[in-house]
Amino acid sequence: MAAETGTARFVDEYQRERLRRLARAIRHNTKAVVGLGIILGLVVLAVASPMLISEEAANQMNVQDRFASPSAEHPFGTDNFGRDMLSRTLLGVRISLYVGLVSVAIASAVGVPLGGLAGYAGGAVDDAVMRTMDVLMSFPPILVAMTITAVIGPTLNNAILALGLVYIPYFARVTRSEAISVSQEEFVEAAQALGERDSYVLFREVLPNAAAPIIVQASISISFAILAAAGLSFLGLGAQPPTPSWGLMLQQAKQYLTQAPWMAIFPGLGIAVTVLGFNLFGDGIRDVLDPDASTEFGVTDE
Amino acid sequence: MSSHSTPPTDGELGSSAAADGDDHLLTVHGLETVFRTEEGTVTAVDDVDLHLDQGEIVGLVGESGAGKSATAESILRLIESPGEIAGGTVEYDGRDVLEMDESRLREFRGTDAGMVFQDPTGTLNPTMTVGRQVAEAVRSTDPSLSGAEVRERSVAIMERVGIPNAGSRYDEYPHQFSGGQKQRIVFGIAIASEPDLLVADEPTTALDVTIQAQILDLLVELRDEFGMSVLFITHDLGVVREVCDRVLVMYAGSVVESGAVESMFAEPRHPYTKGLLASNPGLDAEAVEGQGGAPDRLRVIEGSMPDLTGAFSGCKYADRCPGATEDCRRAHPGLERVDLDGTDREVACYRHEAIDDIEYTYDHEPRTLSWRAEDERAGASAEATPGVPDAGGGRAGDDPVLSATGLKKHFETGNLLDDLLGRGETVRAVDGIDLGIDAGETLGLVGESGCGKSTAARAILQLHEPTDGTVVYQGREITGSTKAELREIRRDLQVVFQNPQSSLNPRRTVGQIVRRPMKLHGLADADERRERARELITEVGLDERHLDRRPGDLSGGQQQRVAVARALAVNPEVIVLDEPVSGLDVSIQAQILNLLSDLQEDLGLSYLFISHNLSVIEHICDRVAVMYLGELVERGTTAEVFDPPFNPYTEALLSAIPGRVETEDRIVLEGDVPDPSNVPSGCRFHPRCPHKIGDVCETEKPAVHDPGDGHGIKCHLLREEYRDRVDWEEI
Repeated sequence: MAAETGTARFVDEYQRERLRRLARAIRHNTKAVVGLGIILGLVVLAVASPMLISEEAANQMNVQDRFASPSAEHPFGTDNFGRDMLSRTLLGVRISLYVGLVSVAIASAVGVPLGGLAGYAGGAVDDAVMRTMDVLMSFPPILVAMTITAVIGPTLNNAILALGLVYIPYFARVTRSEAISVSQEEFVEAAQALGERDSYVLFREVLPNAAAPIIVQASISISFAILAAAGLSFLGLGAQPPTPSWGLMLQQAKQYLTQAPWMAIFPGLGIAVTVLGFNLFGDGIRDVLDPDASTEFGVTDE
Repeated sequence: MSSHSTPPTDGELGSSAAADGDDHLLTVHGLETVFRTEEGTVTAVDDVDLHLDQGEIVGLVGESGAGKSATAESILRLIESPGEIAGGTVEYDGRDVLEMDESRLREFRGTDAGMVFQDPTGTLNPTMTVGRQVAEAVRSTDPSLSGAEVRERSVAIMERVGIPNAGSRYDEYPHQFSGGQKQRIVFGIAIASEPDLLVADEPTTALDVTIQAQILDLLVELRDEFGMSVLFITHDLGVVREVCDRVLVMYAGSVVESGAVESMFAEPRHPYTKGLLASNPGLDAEAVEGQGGAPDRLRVIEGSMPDLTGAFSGCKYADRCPGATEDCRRAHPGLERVDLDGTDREVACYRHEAIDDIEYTYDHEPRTLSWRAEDERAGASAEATPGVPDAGGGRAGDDPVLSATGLKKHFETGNLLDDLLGRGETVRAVDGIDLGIDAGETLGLVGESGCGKSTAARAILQLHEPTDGTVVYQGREITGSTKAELREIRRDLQVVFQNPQSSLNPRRTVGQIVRRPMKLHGLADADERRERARELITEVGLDERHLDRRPGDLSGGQQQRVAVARALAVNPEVIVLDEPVSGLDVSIQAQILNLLSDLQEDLGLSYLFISHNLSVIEHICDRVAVMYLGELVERGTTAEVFDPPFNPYTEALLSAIPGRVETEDRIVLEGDVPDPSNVPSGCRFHPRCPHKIGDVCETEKPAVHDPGDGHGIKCHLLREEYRDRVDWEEI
């Protein structure tokens, strides 16, 4: 709030104390620490890898070196075009994170307000929104995403958009149930009694207090989205060759599984580690933010 | 009463107590329980000595955080991590509970001791029929019983604790029982093994006053029948007076005074006990009389319970004690035995001899909020505020500030499908009530839970759109106003809720919470808002550093003060107080009640005060409206309604207040408040009415008798008849 800048100094001091407490609670949670460690490592790789390896170099075919098994020169081996798997796997980190973050950003940007509206308004609005979401959810996500990309064209960004749309109902559901319980709180009624507009109550009173499960949902959805994007690429509906996307790399490896298993192992490991990182972090954060868990942060703040 | 109490200096352990030949069933000596938290070690139970004799009900009383429950749980060894029993002995029937091995401990908990907790809904397993839950307890006591015998005994127990048609209700689930009945079943489970010791932890706190009276009666009956000893934990001094033989007052983990109940009420020797009694508006104890403070203010204990982390130097109560001296800061005093008129008393105070000189006082400098005066001047001038004129701004005669006529609020249950099939039910939460609040007065709205008090308030405030009826504020009808008009009116009608933890957004600072209403209604610019927030927060008895805190860092009383400050921020005329003190400890409750009285006096506010607590209503309200099942059954000035009560329901409510002196002609209402979707015919109160005349009550709706002085009674018994009847009975 712009008007509150005068007390910003105090608020900051106070915020810092709260963040310190949150940080301590997270530190005490092994799952969150390991998950966060993995995520941070991946972020560093995503930032650093394009500086060290150029994408052109990674896409450079070298037919003499095809199917080279892991060695000092090519620690992860080479693929059927003789491209270095290490560079390609490392560049894949960036694509995976991009896919995960952007699709979840799209899903939450639409799903959270919709779910909040449904939960806060209730009644017919709730029914209308949630039944629509139910219809969307009744199809397997990957099938819907495939249909969408098949219609709008198979590119990486379209795959991201499709995944974003597919995950909207999950965010709407989580947000709605939390918004319902927050709306029961008396501070929401107090705000209404003060004459606050509904939009203010929804966005400033209800949703900020519904954040915890949404954060958890987001971090777990990122891993699902990465997995699904890999699946789409694998089916040829996501990133197109020669993009170093893990899903695409797996698809190519499929034909040579016995001949050059490293082509499948390293991108697969990449996916597994990334998914594990976000899942662990999501799980850990849930424990930390859960008001029923007897962590200090949960007790004092939720 | 036993003449043997445990002398703390003796250091007696083990069998020596039994060798004394006393009849202590339970002797607790030097019990110490600590909780290890990140902030440090909290000594929740600090060197507590207590004993229970056969067949005795001993009260353990104190405010929240005093260590009452921790003491009880330590006695049954139910303390869980991060708690830990650090020392002491709990001797039960010659054996130390703290030394028992697992199997012996299970046997002790299973057959020797029973426990009843505050919330019956949480105690009973919702997925199991109540019959099976009782049967489980029966079987664990005597595994040799056959299935049919177990059932027979379980039904007998359910009947014993007052479940009608126990046989047929055996197979029902907990949600099919009312709160009072659930608590009866919990009592049934606890007594299934015919224990010698019953620990009851706030067993009536979650219940209505009428239901509480039933449960307390049951407890005393069970004690008489089974000869159990009961350790009764409560924060309510009235309840203690009602059922207990002896009482121990706990403060910050230590017992500060113990003795026989009546003598303690008549002559408290510890300043904390005296303060608790004085803060309690409902108790007509002798200790409460005396001078000091304005007549309509309670004498309060300032401050709140100290932080129990780390070591203490000095008396734990010294900071709040009006009689503390330098000596009190040296060390916490031990319990000292005093003989008072032949009854034993133990008190932990250096200055207990001088208790008569330790007086709680309450002073308040009358003042007003700076801008309020300005606004009033501005309001009186020609400048018309878009809202409604402020107090004194030419209101016609003595019309009420806020009035409701024929107000109804019905809820339809069920969804669209049920509507089509005609299955939905109408819940008549508020069914035609008339209320009027005059300027500067407090109107009390009282009734059992589920009678529609809160719904009525929300309908008046237009938070729920009323089904029917009109609400008039300062001569202007506000029912059916547009959203924009309502927003203006909301400035003048504010509300304070019951639960301050929930009524303040946990993610805002207090400053943001208090400034927001002013910003919303454009009452001042940013600097002015900050200035006003400081003034408001001081006015409600907090200080400026609280502005940067978040609600989670404040105590319940402080949070409620913030909620009051938020309501005041828009300069309202009427504040609806929905159970504003129900969730608070008695000393904090007294502080808030005084604050509300002060604010009313200083600022000329009108209050609609909703409460189920008649003592509080009687203390603070000018006029009272009694509500039952969505209707008003009586209204008038507080004196007219309460002294003496004319409507049978009012009479029953009043007589259910625990701790009043005259208990002989108590009326204990049977049953619960009926379902508002299916109201009884005729007079809605007739199924429970102790003075039902006959068929007329069942068939005809009673009209309101109003002899013209504004005192309306809704009952077939006319006022005169009622008085006659009472007189007749007295002769």
